[in-house]
Amino acid sequence: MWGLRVLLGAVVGLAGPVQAEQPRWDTFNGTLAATKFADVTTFTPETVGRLQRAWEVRTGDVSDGSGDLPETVWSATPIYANGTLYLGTPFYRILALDPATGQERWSYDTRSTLKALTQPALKNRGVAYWESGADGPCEKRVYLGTMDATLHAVDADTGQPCADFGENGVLNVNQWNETNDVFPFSLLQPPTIVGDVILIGWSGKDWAYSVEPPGNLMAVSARTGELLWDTGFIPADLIPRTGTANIWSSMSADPDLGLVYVPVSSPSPNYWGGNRLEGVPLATSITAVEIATGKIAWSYQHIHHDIWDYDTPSAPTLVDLPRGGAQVPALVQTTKQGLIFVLDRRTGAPLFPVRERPVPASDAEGEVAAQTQPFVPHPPPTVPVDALPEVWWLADALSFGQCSRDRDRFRYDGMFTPPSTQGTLLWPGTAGANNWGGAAVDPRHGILFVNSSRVVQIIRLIPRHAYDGEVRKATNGSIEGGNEAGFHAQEGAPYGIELYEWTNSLGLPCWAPPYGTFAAYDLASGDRLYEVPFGLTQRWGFYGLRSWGSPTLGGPVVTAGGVVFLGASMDDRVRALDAATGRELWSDIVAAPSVSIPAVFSHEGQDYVVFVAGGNSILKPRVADQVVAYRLPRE
Amino acid sequence: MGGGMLQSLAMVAALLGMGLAAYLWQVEGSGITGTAGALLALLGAGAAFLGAILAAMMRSWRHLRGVVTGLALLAATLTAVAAWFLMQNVLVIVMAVAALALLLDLAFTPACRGVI
Repeated sequence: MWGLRVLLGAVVGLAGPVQAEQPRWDTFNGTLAATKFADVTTFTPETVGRLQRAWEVRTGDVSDGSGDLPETVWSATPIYANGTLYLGTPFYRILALDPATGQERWSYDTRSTLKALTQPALKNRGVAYWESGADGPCEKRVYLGTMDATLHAVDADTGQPCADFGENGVLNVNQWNETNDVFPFSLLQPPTIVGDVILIGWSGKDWAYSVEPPGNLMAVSARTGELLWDTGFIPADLIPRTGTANIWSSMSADPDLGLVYVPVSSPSPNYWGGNRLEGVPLATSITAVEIATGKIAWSYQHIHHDIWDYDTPSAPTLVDLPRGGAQVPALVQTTKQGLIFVLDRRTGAPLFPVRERPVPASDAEGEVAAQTQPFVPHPPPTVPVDALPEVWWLADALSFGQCSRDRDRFRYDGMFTPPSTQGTLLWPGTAGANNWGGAAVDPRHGILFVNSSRVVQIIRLIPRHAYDGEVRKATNGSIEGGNEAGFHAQEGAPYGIELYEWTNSLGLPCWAPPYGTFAAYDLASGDRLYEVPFGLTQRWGFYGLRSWGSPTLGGPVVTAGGVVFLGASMDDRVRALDAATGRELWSDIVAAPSVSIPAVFSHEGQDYVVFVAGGNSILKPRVADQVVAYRLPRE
Repeated sequence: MGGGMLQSLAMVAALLGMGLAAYLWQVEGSGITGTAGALLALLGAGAAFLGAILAAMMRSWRHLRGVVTGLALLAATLTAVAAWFLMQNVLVIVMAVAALALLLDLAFTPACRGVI
């Protein structure tokens, strides 16, 4: 361990200083740079073992889907600003809490519809905060988006609607949903605010249609809600045939360069692209947009002709890196396919070599897969991308060889094997090696921390003429129950899909562990400093071995004291890790998997880490409405 | 330690295991709240407890007593293993004590000796 500490110390010296930030947490990723770095020093490897629960709040806004309401999925990052902790809930309410006690100061109910209009659950990832710098009502505001595409602005001190925003504090964002509007612009991710500009992306309905609303980024005035500009990501001539390439995740921004960095998702339909063979250059990309004008400054497509739904899942992290004796403004993008792209954030030029490698061809009707895809050999991928994980002997033996037979039966010719009618092993799975939690970076040292999942799925294309029959067969006659059974229509395409985890008849994964890891990288050299299994799998209450790790959803926060905080695992635990080694230092059990990014901040002279435990059925069927704050005991 | 004492120890430990498993199943923050695994542990501890009681009541049926004690031992051992995978160390210890008491009872009680 000391050896690693020494190595890390040496790396610190080489990387040189970059941006240091204040211990506030007023955006989804802590700051606009999305470093998820908290400049607090009391949380150290020596002290975090003494963390205590300061308070716990149950919001009451939770549903397991068994009643009239859809299931909730709560991944909100708490926002600390204005001496208050602000949260959005999956029932689309804003809560303002006292950071020291958890006592509610006010709440605001958007009265949004509680129907799963787009995503299959009531989802929320929190609120956004803005202040003008002046005093008076609504000079500090909290914004919350809703499932039914409204953006609410309320006074940060009182929770009263700001009448000058939209119509009496409510902006109907769906008024700009005018093309292929088969679903509303669901505002599940809080918008990004830079200066007085609110930048809005939205979520749609995955895997359902071929022709959908074309993805765009909208900028509105933080004070009035007036539309300033609207930049689209689908070429005009393709809009009648395709859609999405939306921004459903968080964004980062560099106000000095005047750029916002947007993670653009894949076009529709997600698993067949015969309707868009010309290519959608801005899809599945990291795109830099001028905040003042909406003009696209540059775009980097990290998957050509995406037919795997490998959306760009998180805000790129902005950090300055040493290159040729100077500090280069860079960004780091973790991806669903497990590759780490490090780009010059002024131009989009890669700072580590990217190789175009030949990839398998498609045998689906009307499909022409890209001949090559970009690979980044260094930094090493967050999961092994050159081969499918081995068949797990235990699952194979317990199913009398089912896993081995599956391996032979389904198609896998390497990464980016196209979906097929025989079934393709999808590695990494659709939730990705890395998802919305993204990575954290200690900007002082140029060290990146990232949690990753190792899940293999099977994606099967079902010819249109057979699709309804297969769904009815799988659901005992109900076409409506198809989604829960893993079927999705991709209406307008020649194929529907079936998507499910590669498990044996007992439900055990057919691929060998680990299932989740945590790793650190030196961004100056690109070297991986360590990689350790993270979290514990859990089924029916029984835990897997520590060496197996757990799939994860949610992201890490790194502190100046050398500690990483991370929930994310399926075992309902929140943890503190030693940033130097990845070793677990502390953990606590919460009510459900904490599939969010924690907030770390200082309030009235004391440091806090706050986790939201909301759960997500991707990990396991347990949801909750719990907010838990931890702090060290006072000396 | 006499056979009666060993049986009593097994019964108390299994009873404690039942109570603990029930508590862990319903209390929030145990890590296994509401899970099938916790219920299985409750069932296993209950089976061990029931077996220990039945064995104690069968002083005159030597072979049957041995079989019932053996089944209770199996239940206690499997429950301890389940508790280990549930990461409930106290339950592991309690059920291990129950299993050990039942094993010693099988090994050293004249009424059971012929069975093993």
